[in-house]
Amino acid sequence: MEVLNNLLWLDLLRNNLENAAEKAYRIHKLDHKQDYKYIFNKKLSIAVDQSTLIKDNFPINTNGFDRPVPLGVENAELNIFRFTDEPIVDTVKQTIGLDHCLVVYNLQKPGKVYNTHIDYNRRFIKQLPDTIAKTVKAKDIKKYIWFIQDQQIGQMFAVGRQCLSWQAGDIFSLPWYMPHGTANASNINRPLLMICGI
Amino acid sequence: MNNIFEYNSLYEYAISTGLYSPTQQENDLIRIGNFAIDSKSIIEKLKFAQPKKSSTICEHCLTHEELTGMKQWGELTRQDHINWGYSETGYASAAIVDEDWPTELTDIANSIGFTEPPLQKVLKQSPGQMFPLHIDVYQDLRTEDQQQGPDMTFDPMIRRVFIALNDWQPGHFYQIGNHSWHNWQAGDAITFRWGVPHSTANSGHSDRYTLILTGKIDSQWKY
Repeated sequence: MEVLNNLLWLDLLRNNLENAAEKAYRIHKLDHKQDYKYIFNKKLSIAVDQSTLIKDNFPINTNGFDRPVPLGVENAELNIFRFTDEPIVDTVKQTIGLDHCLVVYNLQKPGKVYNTHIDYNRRFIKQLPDTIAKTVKAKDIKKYIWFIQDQQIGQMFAVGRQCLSWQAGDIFSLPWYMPHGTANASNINRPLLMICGI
Repeated sequence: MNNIFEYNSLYEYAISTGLYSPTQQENDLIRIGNFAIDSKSIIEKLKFAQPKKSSTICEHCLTHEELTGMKQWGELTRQDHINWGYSETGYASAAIVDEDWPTELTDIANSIGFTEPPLQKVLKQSPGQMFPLHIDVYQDLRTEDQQQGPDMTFDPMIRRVFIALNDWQPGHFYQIGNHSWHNWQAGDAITFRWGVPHSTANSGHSDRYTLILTGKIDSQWKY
């Protein structure tokens, strides 16, 4: 695991991140029953102009790096907004303790799934200063899910072998290699913040 | 008696009449046990029809009421899904019941304690498919007249049982009331009270197969 954790993220993006993540997750399962960590609860009031949301359905290429597209992607969709310099970014950094982060508002409408995948974090790496991006190792990548609203019946979020139950304000972390997927079979939108940081 | 047609939504009906509470902590999901099955052999024998689109979601289709002048319970589910913003979504493929139907499934069906052989159905849900939140109306076991009547009162002698035909994989979702069913092994069986809203989705990388049994029980029913 140490070898995998110490691989440079840019190298992984160029050379089969999927394989490395699969190996890391296999090792993880030998030692851990839990695939995520519950961090704490902090309520977050956040307003996003819905007209600024853009559709995300597994872009193959982002910033020059490719990723595979999973089966059943036809019904995959999130509506997202990437925060740049809004106060929420500082709130996230301070609350979680990150030096750099990409905060994405992530809304899933009823009827949509987002197939199980690992995150490539291509935009996050791209936004880092070059000198830092070149040195980021797999183990440096921190992933967080910050739920903004209580879970509703029909809203589902799987992390590895587990399904999350959440309340508004719950923050969970998952390691860089952890597969996760979502579905919203409920009657209302499901918003959350997806955070990648170092 | 609650007149079902006084409600605009089957989901609201379930909440208003106390069939389901979003805040209750009691277990909505009842585990029956595990049947030893040869998953691969069973699945190989099954033949599947084209993936079924949920007719409940077809916005442009004529409703049962528009076609017949009569309301029907299932229409309320359809209306729920339209109101919630669903577009037409594939939810699953049903296996064709023919002479090659695996006898193993019939053996399981007949061993659970239904008073008569239950209706058997196998659904295959492929990656990307979803069955939106709904409550069952057990239309196969109710007459057309019943389904058009105002009294949808639960028949406590009807039960539905779900049996997983293959092991759980990440991204296989089964949400029943306030509980999630996951990590199952092939052969695991569950049931739940009528009126509990439930939904399924497959965001995984492999098909999910479920045997669904619906039938009448008697007071000796163990679960």
